[in-house]
Amino acid sequence: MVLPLKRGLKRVGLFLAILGPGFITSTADNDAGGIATYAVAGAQEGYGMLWALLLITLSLGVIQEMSARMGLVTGQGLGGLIREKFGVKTTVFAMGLLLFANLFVTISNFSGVAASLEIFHIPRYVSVPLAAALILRLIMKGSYRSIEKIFLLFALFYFSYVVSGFLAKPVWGEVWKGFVPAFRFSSPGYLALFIAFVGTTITPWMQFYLQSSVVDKRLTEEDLPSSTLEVYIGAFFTDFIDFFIIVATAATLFKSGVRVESASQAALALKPLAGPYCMALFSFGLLNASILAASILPLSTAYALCDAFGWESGLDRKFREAPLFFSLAIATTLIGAAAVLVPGLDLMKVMLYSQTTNGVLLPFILVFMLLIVNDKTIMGKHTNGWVRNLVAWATAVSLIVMTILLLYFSLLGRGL
Amino acid sequence: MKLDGEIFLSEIRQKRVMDKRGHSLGTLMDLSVRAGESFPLVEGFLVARGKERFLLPWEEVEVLNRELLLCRSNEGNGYPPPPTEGIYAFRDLMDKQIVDINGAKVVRVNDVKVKEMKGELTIIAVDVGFRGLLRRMGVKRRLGRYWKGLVSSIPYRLIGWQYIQPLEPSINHLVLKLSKEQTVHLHPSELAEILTQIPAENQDALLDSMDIDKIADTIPEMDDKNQVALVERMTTEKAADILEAMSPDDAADILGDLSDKKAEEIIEEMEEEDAQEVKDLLQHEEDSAGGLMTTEYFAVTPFTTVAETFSQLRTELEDVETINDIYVIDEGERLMGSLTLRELFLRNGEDKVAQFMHRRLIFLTPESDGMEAARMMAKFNLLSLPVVDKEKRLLGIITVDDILEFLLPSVKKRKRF
Repeated sequence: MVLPLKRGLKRVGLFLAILGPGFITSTADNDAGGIATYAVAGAQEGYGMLWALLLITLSLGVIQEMSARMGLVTGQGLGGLIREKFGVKTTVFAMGLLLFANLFVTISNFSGVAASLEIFHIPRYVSVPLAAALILRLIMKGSYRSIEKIFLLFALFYFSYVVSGFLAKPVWGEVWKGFVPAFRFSSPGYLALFIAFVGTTITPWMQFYLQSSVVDKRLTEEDLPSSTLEVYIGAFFTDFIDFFIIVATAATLFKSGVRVESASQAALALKPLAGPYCMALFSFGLLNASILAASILPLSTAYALCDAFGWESGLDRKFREAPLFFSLAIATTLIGAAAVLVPGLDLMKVMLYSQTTNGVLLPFILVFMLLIVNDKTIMGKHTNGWVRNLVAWATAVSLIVMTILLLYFSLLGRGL
Repeated sequence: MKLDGEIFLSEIRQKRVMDKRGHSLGTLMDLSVRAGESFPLVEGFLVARGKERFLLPWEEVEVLNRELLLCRSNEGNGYPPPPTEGIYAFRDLMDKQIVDINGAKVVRVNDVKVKEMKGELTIIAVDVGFRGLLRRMGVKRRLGRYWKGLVSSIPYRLIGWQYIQPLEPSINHLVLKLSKEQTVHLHPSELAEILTQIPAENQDALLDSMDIDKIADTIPEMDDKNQVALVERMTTEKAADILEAMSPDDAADILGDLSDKKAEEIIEEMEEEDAQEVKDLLQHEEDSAGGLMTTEYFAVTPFTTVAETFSQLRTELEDVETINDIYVIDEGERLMGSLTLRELFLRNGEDKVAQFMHRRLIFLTPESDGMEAARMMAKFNLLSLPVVDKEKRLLGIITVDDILEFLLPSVKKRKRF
């Protein structure tokens, strides 16, 4: 017989055991590119974009929850489900795009590693290989559990942005005003920024990684309630951090009218305005985010392709048990790191390619997900109820529209 | 001969269906499959003509090859519409996951191979390899002659139908006795591994194809979480049958992890004797000697002869955990001594066990903890240890495999720490 207190503690313990996939995926969403977007948003518009954060948190939660649910119920990754429902040709198309999309994001994250340490005068030829070596060791040697714990640790370090935010000494009265929705779409800069804001929130790689993590962690249907909770907490946490990133740059750069175009520029600009500690924390946050994302992206690629084509996968396996899984992860890491070391790399171009491939792929992935999650033969009784469907389709459609607009803008050169 | 040689289903998909007079009847979309004596048989072809769909029976087919399907003249009328129930090769088998019994793992069907045998179109194998993938993408068709050259370095990964276990419940009944025999060859820990990789509804389908004893051997090999989830889903009657077939210590471990309600229901349903054994074991802490022990030990009274011991062994063989260590107890079930099977062999038939048994006893109480048991086993080089109560009555024995599991749970059940 279990005492009520023991039961309560057992529940908390159970939840902590489940904490992982949703939380980590959402946090990694704040990668180098994401941070750049938020930093620039704060510098350019002050607190004017904060209201959008609330919308983003909700949509992130909704989409992630569907991914997690699919993984829990079917025991398969998204790649495998796409294969089962849509066949080989569609899968090859999607995986091909994903491979390149993920590669570009990996490159931009290694670039984030380089940039954040260059602020401290550490050359990229030292920082990037070191980071790559660290990531490779992690992937090869770790078990699912140990890697997850390390990622959770990375997630905690994001608190450096919270401190940065406070060090920037914002005027809180002004901050709260930012939560009043202000549709200043007449200003083209605002519109483009808004779209980028939304576009950086949901990316294809996240859906593959989240679902495969849930499967690799061997969670089951019974974990559904805890998992849903975890996903929403993750979404909230990540936007909590974003809030502080915006506050940090808004309170300083916006006030002083400093324009920046990247996260590392933002960090540097913080120094004269808020002190060296603020800058250091901001840069450290960038480094942390970049390494986390650079570890997760290769895994996302490996999981997705292995699920789709029926190759062995899993972080608990040894190399020879799942050779293609590890090879894909290793290759993505190495190519991503190497690309950053090539002299004359135009980071802006990389980001453009990244946005474009992800932008093309995302609508398909969202639609695939929605079709799969509503398929009774796959999900049994866990298909979307009509309320969920309403919210999910609305979210998906707005995201798709945003993405198309983003593609339109970036391809026409009217970027940020 | 309607079909020359063997053909892959990906090669005939969307091929034209024509009658002998040259009228086009539509395109081939899918194949309807039913269970045969050993392998599944193709009943008919799902043909699409515009919006219309109909089922063309195999009997009506004259020729089938990579170019087209030729059938008897009928103008394509009078063929029945296809039943929605039933199994279709592309819809239900292609791209789905199956269990490769030989490899003891879960793989995905890339292509399906058929052959005409005894007049019937039979599914003989599935392709789970890269070649199959390339073929599905149409690479073979496009390359034509160059196909062989390109893929020569890529090995075939064909699995004969008799070596697979499909996972979709709908397909389950296609897998017949033959495959059931194959699952017999898999070691319980391999079966457990496969079970933990597939989702709940497929787990139930797979279990339906296994007999009670096999299930009883497999479930203890699974990790706790999956075990509990699986048993909670079962009907009380089935769970009781399975737990009765297990050794009581394994059954007790599982019952201990179940919800109270389910555990009580199952114990109610079990046979009196087995239920009592399990209830006794449940009284002890999981990691103590009492929790690790089993009550299925082999024991004789002191004045039993060696010959009598052997015949008793033969009758009780099925029901005891180990015969390596033989315990000697008096009428009050108090432990008097022990001997090994080896020592038994070295003696004459008329010798009484009391004459040569070991009297200096090494034993544990139910409250002793698992580590102490492990240390004792290591120190005295034993394969099993007796567990006695305060009056020295023999309650059960702890065997070395249970200690190994206790010491190395992460290895045994792939738990992550």
